[in-house]
Amino acid sequence: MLGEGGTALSEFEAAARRFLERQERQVDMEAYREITDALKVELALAIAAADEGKADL
Amino acid sequence: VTTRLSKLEGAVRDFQHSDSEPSDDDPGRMRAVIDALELEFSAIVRRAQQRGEHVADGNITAASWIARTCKMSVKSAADRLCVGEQLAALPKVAAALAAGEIGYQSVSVLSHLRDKLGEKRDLFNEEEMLDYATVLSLRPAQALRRRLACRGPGRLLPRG
Repeated sequence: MLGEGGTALSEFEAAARRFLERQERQVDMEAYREITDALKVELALAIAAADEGKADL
Repeated sequence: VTTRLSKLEGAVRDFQHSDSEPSDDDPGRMRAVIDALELEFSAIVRRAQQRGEHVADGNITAASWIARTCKMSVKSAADRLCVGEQLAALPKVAAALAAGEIGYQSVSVLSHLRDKLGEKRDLFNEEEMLDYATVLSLRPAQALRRRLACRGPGRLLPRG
């Protein structure tokens, strides 16, 4: 589910949920794609951070 | 005018520059958000295709136009168009993704599967296929899609 809790991630989840619930359907798809690409980089960093944490165990 | 998109951009920037807590390094939650936004991207590009925006720039296909505009491969762009087209007929699949029960890749596999059925796509049982996607890993569904691509829809559908 999107948007629970009070951390940076949960605030972002809430923002994503508000975007998905918007009334105005037309979107600048190039700008939108840049956002999702940036998020995929963040995901890669989160996976790397999780992997690093596991290496410390 | 602050649009929803610019608010989302701001939220991404805030997230990127925040002093994240360890709980924020949660690939599963991040992936769920990205998947939901990816599904929305599929709907966005499909609407753009329906409006014929790619024709204005003299592009041969909508996929090549999206690929160039959004800096992605033609194959990826074609995937989003296929998902966007099938999405209207797969409301339960879309809801399952929004609930975090399946990921975008599963939605993509199911969409392509339905697309490959061609004229027989009405025989696609959304609920049954969603069950498979929820319970099984991606691999069996991908294998089914490959078989369908090789043999055609008639060979996979019930006889009689």
